[in-house]
Amino acid sequence: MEDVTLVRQAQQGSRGAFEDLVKRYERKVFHLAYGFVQDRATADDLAQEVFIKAYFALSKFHFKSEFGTWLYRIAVNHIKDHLRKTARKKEVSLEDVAELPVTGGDEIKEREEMRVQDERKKVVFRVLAALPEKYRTILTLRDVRGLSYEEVAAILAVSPGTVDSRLHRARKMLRKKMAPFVGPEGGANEM
Amino acid sequence: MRCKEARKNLMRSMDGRLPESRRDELAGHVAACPGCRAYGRDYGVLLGLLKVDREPEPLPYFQERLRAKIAERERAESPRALWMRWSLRAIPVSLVLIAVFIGALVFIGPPLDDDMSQPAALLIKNANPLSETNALFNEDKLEAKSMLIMFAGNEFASSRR
Repeated sequence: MEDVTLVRQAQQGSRGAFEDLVKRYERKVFHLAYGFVQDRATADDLAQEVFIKAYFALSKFHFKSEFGTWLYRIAVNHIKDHLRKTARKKEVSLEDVAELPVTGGDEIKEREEMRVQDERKKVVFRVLAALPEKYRTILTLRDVRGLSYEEVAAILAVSPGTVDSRLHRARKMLRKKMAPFVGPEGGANEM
Repeated sequence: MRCKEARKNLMRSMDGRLPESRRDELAGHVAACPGCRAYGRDYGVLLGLLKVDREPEPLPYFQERLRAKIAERERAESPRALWMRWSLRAIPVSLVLIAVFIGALVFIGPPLDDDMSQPAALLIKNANPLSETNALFNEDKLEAKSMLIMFAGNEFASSRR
């Protein structure tokens, strides 16, 4: 059944229709939240709160956008509120990156590589968490969740052109903050 | 092409959004510029780290927990929600009732004096028509009785006008 039909039924009071919508979007909303907070329990709480908000706001959905876009917009705003409330901007130091240990054997080496990769991920996400909110949001939607420019534009209620320029600034800032880990910038024809 | 523009285009190229007409120019710049080459390579590494490769699942019983929370919220918010719903509906209903009341006053209000019957007019003036009739019957003198009948007739005629 299409989203539109389920939403109409849910608006008329069908609990079953709303639960079908939850089933359809549960993982997407959870993964979106996880992309921001990198914590399973917090992401689960946030996803639940997003659906509660959506349930009570369903009568205000007038089919002007896709239901998924509307839901994602609620989710992004709710997650941003949560991040504002629990803002803790942590400075990232070089010591946060695990050093490659000297190991023997392929299996151990492989396991260690995975651990180091995990540590690197943690550093990138910590740097991402310390970026200004609008840059963190756009990078999470595009580079973490892999949404298209058009989807990001619809969720943030901006034009695809704004997505393009904001994304470029956000990536530049992330790259700059990550310079100690990935090397300095510099080009032959730098302005 | 300057490095600034080249890097912007590198990002667009990674997103598959660089027009074909600009790809050769970018490739030429990147081939000749180690800085931009490193920029593209480094961001590629960062993108790889940003991608979530092992996505966790929501905690168990997501639906059941959500259903319970919604029911709880509904119970907590129901008086307020009810008030909001009824208060919003009460506005147009009140306006309609006020309009009906005003209409009733204008179109079917109490009749004016001109349209009143004589007994109604006497009733409004709190006058007792029987007392006048009694006085007429109780009068002994024939002349006085005739005068009273004449005055009563005049009064009736004027009240009809």
